[in-house]
Amino acid sequence: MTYRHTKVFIALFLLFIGAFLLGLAFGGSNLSLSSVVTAIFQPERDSIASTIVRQLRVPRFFLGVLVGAGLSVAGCVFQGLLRNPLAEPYTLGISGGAALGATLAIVFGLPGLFGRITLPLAAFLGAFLSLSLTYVVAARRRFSIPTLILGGVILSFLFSALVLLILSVADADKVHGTIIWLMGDLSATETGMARVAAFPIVGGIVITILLAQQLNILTLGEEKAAYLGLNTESLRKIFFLAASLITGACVAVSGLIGFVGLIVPHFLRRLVGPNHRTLIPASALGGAIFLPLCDTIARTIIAPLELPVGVITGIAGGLVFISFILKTRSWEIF
Amino acid sequence: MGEGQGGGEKMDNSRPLPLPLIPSRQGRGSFRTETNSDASPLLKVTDLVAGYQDQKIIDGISFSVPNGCFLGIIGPNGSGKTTLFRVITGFLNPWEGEVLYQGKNTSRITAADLAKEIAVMPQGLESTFSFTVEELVAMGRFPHLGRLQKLGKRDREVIHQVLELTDTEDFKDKKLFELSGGERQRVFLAQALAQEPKLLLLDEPTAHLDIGHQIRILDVIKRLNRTGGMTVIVVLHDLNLASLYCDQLILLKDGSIFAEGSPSEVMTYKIIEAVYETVVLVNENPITKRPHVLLVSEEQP
Repeated sequence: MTYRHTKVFIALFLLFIGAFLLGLAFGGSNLSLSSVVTAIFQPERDSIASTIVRQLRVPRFFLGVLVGAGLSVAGCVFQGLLRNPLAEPYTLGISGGAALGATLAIVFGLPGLFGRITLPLAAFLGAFLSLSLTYVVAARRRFSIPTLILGGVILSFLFSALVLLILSVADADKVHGTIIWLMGDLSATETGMARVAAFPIVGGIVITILLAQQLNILTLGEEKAAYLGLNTESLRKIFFLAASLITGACVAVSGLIGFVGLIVPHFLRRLVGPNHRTLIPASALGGAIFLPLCDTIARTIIAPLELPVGVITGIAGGLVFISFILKTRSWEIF
Repeated sequence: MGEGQGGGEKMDNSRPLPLPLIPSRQGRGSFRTETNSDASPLLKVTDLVAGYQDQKIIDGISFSVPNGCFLGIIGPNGSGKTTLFRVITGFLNPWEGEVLYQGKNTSRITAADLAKEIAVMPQGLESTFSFTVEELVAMGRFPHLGRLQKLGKRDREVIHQVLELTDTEDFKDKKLFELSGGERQRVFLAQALAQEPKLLLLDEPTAHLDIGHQIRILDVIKRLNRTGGMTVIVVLHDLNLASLYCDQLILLKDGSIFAEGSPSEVMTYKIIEAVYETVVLVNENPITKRPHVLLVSEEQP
């Protein structure tokens, strides 16, 4: 932890507080900062504002924190594991499986079956199916990185094709519902569901932080990592499973929110460097700022209607990232 | 900080060495079982057969490496140097035969325990992300750290020593992609030395380097060999470098040992011409008295 790192973490923490206050103030109805503070500390004084803040916006903000941090850490781990800065949480097909599960649940009207947990459950089962298949394929070749990438990417295409097949024969309104889910959305999830998802997400983040130095060494390549005493095969399995479980849990509660897992680790790698000991916590914090902020925009920009947050992360993230690349003089992007 | 001031100097043989690099390792290594007498070899290889898929690359190789030896493995392209190297390092499992380190089969020693004793510098090392030189060298301490343990005072001392030894101290805060090929190679050498190895294995450490960098890299290794007692096995392409630095040579041809012995025993024009299928002259280097290979073109100059 150098002086520079400390400064970055302090800045991130302040941004986080800022994003928190903005997230509570803006939305379908805009509140002043003072009424937000009142709503938090003296809920009895303004019951409408306090209901909006405490029962709607606070849970939703923390869902954004959870999913943003999870996707960013998963992206960061996949980039390190696959030694590829273009990797992201959905590279290895988790998204395809989850999309298939969700599509089946929506199109065949399964929500009646288990109530409101059906959709997240179906998405998570789909994610789990695709990660299991990728695992089985990769395990046949000692979990080598090329096999992992090829297996994951091909399964991802396969699942996408199945989703398109189902959509091509489904009713128009169900297609619309599915597409909204595919874009990624923080509005549909209940607090209870988010609490369940917190376990794999937080657990996975803690595991990857504890193994950060091993991940650093894995980026030197399998041969050198083995010479430095790592059991590379089992470490690759651990990182794959941890990042996949994080991703699966995020996707189950929020759909396919794109771009967060790609750009947040990139952005922070430029600020704190590639050492995963600092990069993973910084990415978690960065995602916990970026996604709730995008969600606040998505709720406000065409209020009283809401945009799916995935649209905002794509547009805002893309613009910020492009301008960042244009501004920086170094040719080094990673 | 202070040491950085005199950093303009180049590798200087008269500079006092920060050696021994390994002051007291008693009780650190986890499997130092019996105290080996110097007579028994540090590494012994018997009847190795190995290859990839169904293609046999090396066939029936046996040799042993005594403590403190500087052994060179030479041979033409495709003669099995890197394959032999990978079997010795344990990266590739042999089809037959075994590799014994201090009398123990290396396949029965965990990678983590091996890394405390043996450091390996393979070919084509690179870093995907822009780690700093110091971060990369610090990774070499990993085998000696406990799970979740951070770098301690002694680790920092070792890192400082190897940075100084390889003359990489001046750019320890730079990123790898900002360095030249020769500088990068010295960084990876520092990383391997940070393991405080008893045995150092290198696969063509001087490939693609100019003569100045070739000598600088090999001089560092030779000094550690001579004064620190570190045993070295190096795969080399360049016959004259092999002759200059190695005590013993193993010359491979088509996956078997064609000749072995001291440089003057192995590097005769008859043997070199037979293995490389090209005409050479072998002279004596007037300073080192070691054989020196001169190439002869079949075209008129």
